[in-house]
Amino acid sequence: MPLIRLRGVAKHFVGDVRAVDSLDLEIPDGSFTTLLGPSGCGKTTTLRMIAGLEMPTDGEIHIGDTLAFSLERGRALPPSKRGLGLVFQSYALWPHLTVRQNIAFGLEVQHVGRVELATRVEEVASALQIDALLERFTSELSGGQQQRVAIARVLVMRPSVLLLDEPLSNLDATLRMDMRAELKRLHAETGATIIYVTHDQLEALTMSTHIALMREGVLQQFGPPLEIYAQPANRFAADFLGNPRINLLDGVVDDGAIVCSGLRVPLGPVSAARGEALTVGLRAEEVRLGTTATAMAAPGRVESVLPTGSDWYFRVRLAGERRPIVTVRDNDAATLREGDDVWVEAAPSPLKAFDREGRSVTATGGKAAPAAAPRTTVAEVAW
Amino acid sequence: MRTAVQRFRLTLTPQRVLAVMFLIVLAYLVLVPLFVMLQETFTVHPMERFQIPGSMPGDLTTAHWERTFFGPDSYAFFYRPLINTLIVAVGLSLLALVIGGSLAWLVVRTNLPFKGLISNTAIIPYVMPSWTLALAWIALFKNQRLGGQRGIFESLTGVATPDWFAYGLFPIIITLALHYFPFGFMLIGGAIRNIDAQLEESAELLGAGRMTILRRIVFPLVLPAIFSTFLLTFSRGLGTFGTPHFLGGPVREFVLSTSLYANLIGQRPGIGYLAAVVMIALGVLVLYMDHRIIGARRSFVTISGKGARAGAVDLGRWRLPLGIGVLVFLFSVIAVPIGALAIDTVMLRPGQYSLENFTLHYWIGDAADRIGLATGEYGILRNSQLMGALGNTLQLASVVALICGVLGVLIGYTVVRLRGTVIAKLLDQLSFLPYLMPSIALGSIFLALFAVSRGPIPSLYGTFWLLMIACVVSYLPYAVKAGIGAMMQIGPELEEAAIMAGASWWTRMRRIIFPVQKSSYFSGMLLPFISVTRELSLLILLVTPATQLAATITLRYTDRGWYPYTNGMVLLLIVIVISATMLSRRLMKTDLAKGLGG
Amino acid sequence: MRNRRSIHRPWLVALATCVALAGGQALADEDWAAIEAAALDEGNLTVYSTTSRTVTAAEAFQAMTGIQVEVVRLGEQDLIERAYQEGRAGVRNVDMIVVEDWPAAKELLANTGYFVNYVPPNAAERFEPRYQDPLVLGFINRIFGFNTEKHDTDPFTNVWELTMPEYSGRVMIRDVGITGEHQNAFTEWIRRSDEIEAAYTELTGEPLEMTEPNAGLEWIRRFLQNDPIIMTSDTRIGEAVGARGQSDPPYGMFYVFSKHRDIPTLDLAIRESHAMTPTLGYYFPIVLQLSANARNPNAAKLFMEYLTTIEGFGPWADSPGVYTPNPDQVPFEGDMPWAWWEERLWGYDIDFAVQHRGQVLDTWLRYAQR
Repeated sequence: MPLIRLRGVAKHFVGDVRAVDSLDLEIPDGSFTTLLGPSGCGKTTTLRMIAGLEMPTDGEIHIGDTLAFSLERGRALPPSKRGLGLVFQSYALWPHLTVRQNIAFGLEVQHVGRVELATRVEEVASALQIDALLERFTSELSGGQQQRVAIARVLVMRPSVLLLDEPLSNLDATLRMDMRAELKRLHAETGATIIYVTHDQLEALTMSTHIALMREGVLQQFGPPLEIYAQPANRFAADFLGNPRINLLDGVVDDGAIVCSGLRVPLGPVSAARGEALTVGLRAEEVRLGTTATAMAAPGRVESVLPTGSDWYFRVRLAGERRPIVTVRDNDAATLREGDDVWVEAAPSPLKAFDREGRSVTATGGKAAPAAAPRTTVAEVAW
Repeated sequence: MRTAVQRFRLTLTPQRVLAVMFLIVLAYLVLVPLFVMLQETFTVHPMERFQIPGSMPGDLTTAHWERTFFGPDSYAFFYRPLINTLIVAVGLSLLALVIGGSLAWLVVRTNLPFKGLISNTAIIPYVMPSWTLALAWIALFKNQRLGGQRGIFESLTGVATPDWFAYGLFPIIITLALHYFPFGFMLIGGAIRNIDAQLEESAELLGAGRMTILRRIVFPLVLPAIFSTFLLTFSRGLGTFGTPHFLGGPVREFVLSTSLYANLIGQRPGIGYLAAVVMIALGVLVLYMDHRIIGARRSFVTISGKGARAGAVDLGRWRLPLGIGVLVFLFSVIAVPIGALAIDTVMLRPGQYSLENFTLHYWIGDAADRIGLATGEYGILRNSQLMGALGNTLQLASVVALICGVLGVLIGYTVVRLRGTVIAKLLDQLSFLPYLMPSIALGSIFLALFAVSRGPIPSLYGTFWLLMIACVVSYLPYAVKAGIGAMMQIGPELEEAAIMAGASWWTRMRRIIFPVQKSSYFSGMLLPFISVTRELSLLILLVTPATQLAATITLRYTDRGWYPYTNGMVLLLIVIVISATMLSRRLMKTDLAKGLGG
Repeated sequence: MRNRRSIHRPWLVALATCVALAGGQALADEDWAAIEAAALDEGNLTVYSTTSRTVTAAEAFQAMTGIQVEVVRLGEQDLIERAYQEGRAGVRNVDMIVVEDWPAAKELLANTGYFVNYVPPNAAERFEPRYQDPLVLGFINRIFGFNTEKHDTDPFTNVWELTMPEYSGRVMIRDVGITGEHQNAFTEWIRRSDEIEAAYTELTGEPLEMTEPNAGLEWIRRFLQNDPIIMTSDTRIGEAVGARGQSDPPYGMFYVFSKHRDIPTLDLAIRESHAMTPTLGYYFPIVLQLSANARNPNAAKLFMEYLTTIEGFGPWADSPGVYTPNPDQVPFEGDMPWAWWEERLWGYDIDFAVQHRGQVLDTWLRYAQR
């Protein structure tokens, strides 16, 4: 049974600004669901509506069996009654309290007994390895330590759902890597449902079991990360996920292939009318570079070579065109140098193609359930 | 319909309920007096009827307006004093800005010596009553025109000061600016401190000179603080009476407040309040300009606390001379007037400054009819009436400060939480409005309003409550500015985290919101405290025998020329206020600047 | 309410007449002993006063009778404003007032019925009838003064001299704008403007050419255009005029004569003019009034009785320039008796003052500005 269910949830601000527009979403129990999208897409608003800090202007929110919010029925459960814990982007640690007082605050408010309170604080502190810091003030802590305190403050309340609002954005790169692993471990150990907000697609891909991709207040796609990566429901989803960014080439259907600037991308099982204009999405790893011409390949010239150590990336300009420049990852082409003439060949699997409106003509509404994420139950696309 | 009702019910958050409550209370305490004041300018009062043919007291009339704005004598009655008022208000504001601003820059951004001492003492001129500087000016620079003992400057140099220098608009501007420059020092100092040093450094790397950086980087960033200072000092300049009258009278240069006082004393309140209305209107105009020009830019800088301070500007060989210069300046605007007050309290026969004339009679003497001024009064420290009044003053000041502080927190909280809404704007501006009202007018309107019971509000006249309400309303602007400033800096997450933990609104206020910005709120309480201790014109009509205050009781000595007693009481108040300021700086880490919303 | 009552109106009127008659009778020969007893019973009273001398008198009264007197010291305008607002609101706070701006007080406090006149036995017996309604506690002189180091004898004999070039920039006066008594006093210059005008002719031998409606206001205009020095306090005028060692001391106009009390303590060289014409200055009454709504009317009456005695007037009698109507009073050392002053000083007509002080203030404000 899905733990958190949003139905028709909307948030309109004064002046008809639609932060979130009629959102339907079901977040499975025990999942690590990421609300992903560029800034201003409504992901934080959604999180805050789930938490109860923001009042939706329409719709219903269920948490487990409880109705947390319903405009129709005039119900708005106070945040603390929803069984959720929220870690703020800024951590929102109370500067006038020590670490211990920060963690204990919620328990005190709930009138938890003195002995139990102390035990629980110690417990969570040692789990998060901040037991040595308990008597310090939060301003004396490093960013990573503050982060742990913020999480401890929430975990001590034993929430069934943990809400994290861009928790890593204030950390430096190395620390961020460590914390990612730690959060994943936390998820595995507690088994709690985690709802995680970020604009960083890499974070979303590496950590989540599910991603809800949002844009301008509208849900674009919901599903396991690799499914969205492999079968983006639309151009935006294709473009937003993946690093380097996906190559989007405009082409025309011709004889079982889409032809983009001379490059022939095989249609495979997908059926499309001849002459139809489609945009093909090619991940860098779906493009190969060769030195000899083939039937499907197009000529081009290497603009730049970008080795990362483990991988070789190339920027290749297709011949006779100012654009497009295609980004390619091909570790077998390590010998190529800037200015070399090459043949570019595409082998997408599966094919990602989009119509004029940007809708995918290849992904089946995101409902395909590939083997990569067996726990997926339902994935709805809002439109 | 049903959903609309549901939606309304669901949006009844504490801040909205509070906002509506405050709006109602403030509307009653601020808008109603304003309305009454306006109404009075259209009413014939008993003594006014003789100059308005055929009128009866209570009649509606436009005669006051016509006389003031369009009558044959409107230039003498109104426009000329108005011009003088504007000259004084603008002049003193600019001068206060220049003095306060340069001092702030020197202290915050350079390697000036004695910084701690300077920033501690630079606020004292505001703590002292403004007329002490006027008295000191006359004592120093008066010339033969004013007769009596020669001015100190003339005695020392033998050079007589010209009239324009000794009396009139020039010294009015100087002395008021010396009184109000701490506003500029505190506000601009705060703003400069908040500027990210990297902004300056990057300009320096681009090869910009010191002046260019000041002009192109620092100045625009400090502009909101400059406007704030201007607004605060300008509106005070409009309404002030004592100093302009004292210094302007000898050369007959009068300001608008003279019209207010003269017509009130002439029992013509209709004409008098018109001057008050004009002052308020001018204040609102400046407030409006401030909102238009600065409004969008006044995004509050959240103190990030990171990054090292900018490398202080090296003053080079000017370092020591400048430091000493600043100290000498502060010493002369603080110690000279205080010294002038103090010396009068220890001279048995006034004006005869010699060692054998020294006495502590006026401080600790018996009630004697033969010694010195032969006042028959006990010395100040042994005078139970004076000490009782001093006690009342302290009590009133503390209570008012406390209430202002609490209201400042709550209103600040409400305004910031509802930021961007009409209700927040209303609340913000409504609570600032009393700042623009001349206190003598506010006092008599409070008297008229609260003498009778109206609806659910009983007659508060003669009670401590009325003094309290009048003071709270009058000094609320300081506390609210502090409250808003403090709330701006704490961000909603701190409270939301507590909401998530299940803390009730009351718990959140008590355990999170208030303690986090404790020092700011205490700062917001300090200015009301200081102001109450020396308030006279607001309270003179409202005090009762049981609630005699230090400032009101000294009147009886002033009018008999027993200055040792008046001066002694003023000195005591100054000492109390300065110690309170120092003490709260120590204990609460208060900073008066925060009381101004800096 | 009013309608229902009106049925009984004839009854009420009859009743009220009876009460009034009875009251009138009681006033004529009231039982002073009963009042004294009731006063002790009340045990306290509240007085608003413009002068702090009342405080001293109250302390002596308190020591004598044990009745607590709260004296609230207020400025003239503040006192009237407060008493007026209290009267309007029916607040019973004050029992009696000691007031100096009688024209304004009469208009706002007596004519409105908030305060009534009362003549205690001592005053009824000793004061001349013209000092009984309103009851005059005493008179205060405001005079012209000069520095005796510079002048052995009176330097001026005519008020118009002060408008002449030789006195330009040398005459000090408390701002008429903030001094209700001055406003009242100058109305007498309007009322008796023919005398003012005659003084001009006497001085110059020429008729007065006026731009103002009368000689009184004309004098104000010319005076203001002769660069006077406008001050905020009488004390400072006295000190400025009387300080020793001045080559060109200023002259004081209309300051309270009682400041001369400080001559020995401050070592001043100052004397009042005895030669100025047509008036040596002006005098005004200190008036006592009883609240119509007093909580402690008897204590107030007792205090009023005390103030009209030589002893009660003591705090006022410690300086020149203040005189009780009580004929038993000995003048302050070196001062002339009240009868001498009353002949040479102008007072003012109360009703005329009420009606014309606005003109004085307007003329002042019109020309005071440099």
